[in-house]
Amino acid sequence: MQSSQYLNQLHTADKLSEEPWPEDATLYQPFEAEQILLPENASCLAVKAYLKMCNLPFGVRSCANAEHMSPGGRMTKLPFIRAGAFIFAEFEPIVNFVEQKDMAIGSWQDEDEKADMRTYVSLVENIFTMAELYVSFKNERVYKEVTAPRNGAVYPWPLNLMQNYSKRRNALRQLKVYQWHDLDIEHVIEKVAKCCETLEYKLKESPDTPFFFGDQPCELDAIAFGHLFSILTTRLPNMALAQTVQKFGHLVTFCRFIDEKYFQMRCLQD
Amino acid sequence: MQLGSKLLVYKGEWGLPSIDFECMRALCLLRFTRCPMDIETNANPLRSGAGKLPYLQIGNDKFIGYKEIKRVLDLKGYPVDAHLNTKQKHLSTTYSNWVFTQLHAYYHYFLYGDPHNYDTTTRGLYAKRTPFPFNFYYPSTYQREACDVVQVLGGFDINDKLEKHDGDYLVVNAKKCVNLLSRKLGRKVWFFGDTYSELDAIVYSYLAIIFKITLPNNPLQNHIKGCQNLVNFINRITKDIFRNECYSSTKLTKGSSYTDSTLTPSERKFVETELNTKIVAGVGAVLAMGAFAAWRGLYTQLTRSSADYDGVDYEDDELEEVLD
Amino acid sequence: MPKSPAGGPMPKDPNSKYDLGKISARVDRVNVSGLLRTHNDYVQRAAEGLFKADNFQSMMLEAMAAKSYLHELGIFKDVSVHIDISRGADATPQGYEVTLKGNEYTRIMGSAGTEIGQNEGSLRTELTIPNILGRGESISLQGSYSSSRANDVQLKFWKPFFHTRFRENRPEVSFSVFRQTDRFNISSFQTTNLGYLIDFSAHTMLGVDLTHSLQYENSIRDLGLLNKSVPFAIRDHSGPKLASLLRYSLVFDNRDNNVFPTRGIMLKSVNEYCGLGGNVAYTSSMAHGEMNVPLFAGLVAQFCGRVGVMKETKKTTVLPINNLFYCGGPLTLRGFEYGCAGPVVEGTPIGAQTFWCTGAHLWTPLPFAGVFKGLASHFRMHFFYNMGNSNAFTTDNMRSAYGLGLAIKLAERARIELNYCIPLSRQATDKASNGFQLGIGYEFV
Repeated sequence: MQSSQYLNQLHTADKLSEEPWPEDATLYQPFEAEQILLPENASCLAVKAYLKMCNLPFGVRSCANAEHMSPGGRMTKLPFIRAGAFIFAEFEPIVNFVEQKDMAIGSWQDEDEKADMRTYVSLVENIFTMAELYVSFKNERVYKEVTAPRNGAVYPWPLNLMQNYSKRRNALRQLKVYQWHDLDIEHVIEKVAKCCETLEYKLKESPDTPFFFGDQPCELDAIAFGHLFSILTTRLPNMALAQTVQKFGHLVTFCRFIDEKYFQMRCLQD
Repeated sequence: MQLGSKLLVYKGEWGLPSIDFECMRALCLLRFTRCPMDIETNANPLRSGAGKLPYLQIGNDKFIGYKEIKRVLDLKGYPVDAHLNTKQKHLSTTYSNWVFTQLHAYYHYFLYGDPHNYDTTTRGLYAKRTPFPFNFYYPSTYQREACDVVQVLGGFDINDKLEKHDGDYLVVNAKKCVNLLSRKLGRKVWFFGDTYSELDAIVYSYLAIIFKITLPNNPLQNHIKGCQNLVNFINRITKDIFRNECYSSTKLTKGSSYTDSTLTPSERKFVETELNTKIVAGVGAVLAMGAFAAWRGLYTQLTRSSADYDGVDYEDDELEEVLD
Repeated sequence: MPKSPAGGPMPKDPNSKYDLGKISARVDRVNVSGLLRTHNDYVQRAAEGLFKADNFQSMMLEAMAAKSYLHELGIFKDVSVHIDISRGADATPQGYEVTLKGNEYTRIMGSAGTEIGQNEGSLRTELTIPNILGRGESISLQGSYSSSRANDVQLKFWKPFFHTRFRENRPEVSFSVFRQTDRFNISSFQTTNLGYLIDFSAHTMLGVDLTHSLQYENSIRDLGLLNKSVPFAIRDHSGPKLASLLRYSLVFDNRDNNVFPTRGIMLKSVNEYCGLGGNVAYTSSMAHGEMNVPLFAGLVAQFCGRVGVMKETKKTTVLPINNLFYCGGPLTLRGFEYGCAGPVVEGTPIGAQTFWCTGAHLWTPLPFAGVFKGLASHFRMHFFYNMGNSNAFTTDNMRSAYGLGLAIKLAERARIELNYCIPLSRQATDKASNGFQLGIGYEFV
């Protein structure tokens, strides 16, 4: 039974919490150059940023069927990480797993601050992922010129059409469940702007530190960076999302700072 | 607010103002902000235009669904988060979003997705609030919606075998969420101290229904019972704010012992619609049987005249393919 | 497949006054009646043999042959033969008139039944429209719904060419569109295949009767995982792939019975070449043989063997795991759990690239079989010894088991076996099942 399996996994995860972080931990993701889509890229970048902030070593493996290999999740199902015998997909389960090993950042936060932070993480993940899905699959031009060719790139001819169809159907169902399906692009922009506002307000609360909570990085820094940086640096036929984020100068500075500190990709223009 | 504008929702049960999460949310917005607007609890979902409640009727304009209603109230000067400071406003948004991700799948799975719960309770609740003959079809639209919700947020398909339902995952998440909410509420009146917020509306709507509903399988119910401050929160809002809208069918029937004179007008109407339903159903059945008989009669004559069509023959219980 | 009645003279009855072979006869007319939708040319060859008959006996035999031929055409529910003296102006003295009266199938036929698969039952329904265009062309829609939502659907169109001059070769062409789900429970994955198949099958009579079938299949094979803790060796393969393959199978069968043969040999080979486009590439061959030798007192010795090899082609990047061979189970290596006599990855059995297994049986009728004559023909007892191995054509690390059991015949096609098995040699990772084991299937080793 699957449910008991889940509990078993939780149980064994508890037992093994003393074990050190495996050296051969691997992050699985689709091919970055020709396949990955905007929402997937954002969540992969967020997880990478988090692991780098925790200073944990990990390898990255790109495979065409990464999404199908994933044990599942509620958003993009990607990336997933293989650490010893464990497989966890998406940001939140991976963060929970790392926390069990007592190697996580953010252990200095008290309970209340942690609860607040969790809700920020969930807001950022929901709003940005939905907005990215919306632009990728509901905007006809972006879908035809970017999403469909990229998603079908790894499949031979008739199969790519079917994969595009099922991927789009899943994306639209996700939008429907999160009640985004009947919005038009102005409302999406409005939601993203509001979320950015919330983030910028949070960032300004501690003006002398570069991070959201105090002077150390936490999960929120990782996920906000993953999404904002992906939105800012991905070139699409419709740059409405990037233009919206661009309006929030503090957030752009924040992205540049995290990139400089952990990645040195330096592809963010001034 | 314009005269004659009203909010239309499903009638409640177990002493709650409504049985539906979306309706409860909308009711909370209206009552928290003290927006002077009528509430119609005996609404017909088919009139909304989307086949769903709640909707807001202002003159000839209809605003369907919570999102639209909230937008209208914001525009008309009744924003729910108006009295919070900036930080609280942001927190209200983040917490509302978080509660949604933690509880939405639980609510949909245990109300519509769990086959036993749905057949014994939820289907009946919605069917009773929908006019004949749509009541046969209509509750299943909610189930289809729940199917999507559980697929996306829970990661399994409710049409699958029962053993494959990963309900434990939903329950664990929901319990964690309730614990955190209980801690966050503490001894305060509202989540942000003395002023209501959208978070209060959402938490109340989810938890009141999950707490009061009588389902055969509802693991979160007992867990909520253990958090006394949340129980108080639910009861206080139900009693103080929704004094007029609360409804419970069992209390009324117990007191009235089925005599027509003691029934409230709304209750009488309810019984009448049931009677109508029975009559229409009876007539429909007789018509269908008659039509079938006529067709059979006609059919035998037809087959006598042409030997061309012999119908379909069935061979039963034949062991055909044997896969390894 | 009904065989035409054996030629040659009938055994002569010494009491009979007449030798039917000596009575001359000539067929003047052959009527085939009951053709409503069928074209005349489709049944014309039924009469060919009849006109060649020159005595009464061969006329009778030819009439029976014509009857069975008409049955094979797949248009008649039942056929009856009437022979009468021919009358009329152009009737010859020894002239006969043969009337074959057929009763055509209805326009739509439906059937429902149950099917027994691996540990689960499923409901199968079939809807057939026979003889749509008047020359035996038919369409059938088949669906099966099992308890685990593994629904299979197949839409098939086929056309026999029995009426052409290649009648003896029985050529048949079919085209089908299918969606099929195979569950590999022991390896925790399932494949959903969606595609089409073109099949051409024929017999050749060059010395021996061989059945050939050449198929082209183009399908999308979507491999899904059945639970969350699946080893990476299997997880790596998940996701949809496009397969385009040629399959050639050859069958030789001269056994006297499909289920409990007493004499004869059956040989079968299936060869696949995958990689004509798509992104799956491999070659695979499987051969199965069975030999039966009658002994004394109703005892039959049976020797079976099966070999499978799967290889990479030039285009192969990775071999698809859903086409690997599973060894073990009541149909191959008795005394082991299904698929559990092969390589294992992280505790999960995974198929092998090559395998072989053999079996030796001694079949006996039930004791006191004479008492229950009719019923006893459905039962047999057997002693068996199975050997086999995966990924090696040697007898090192071989698996073997012996035991005895009872077999029951099902519908002239399948057989149920209940065996008591004792595994003799096994590997540490195998899951042997010492004790009773139940097996249902067509083809056993």
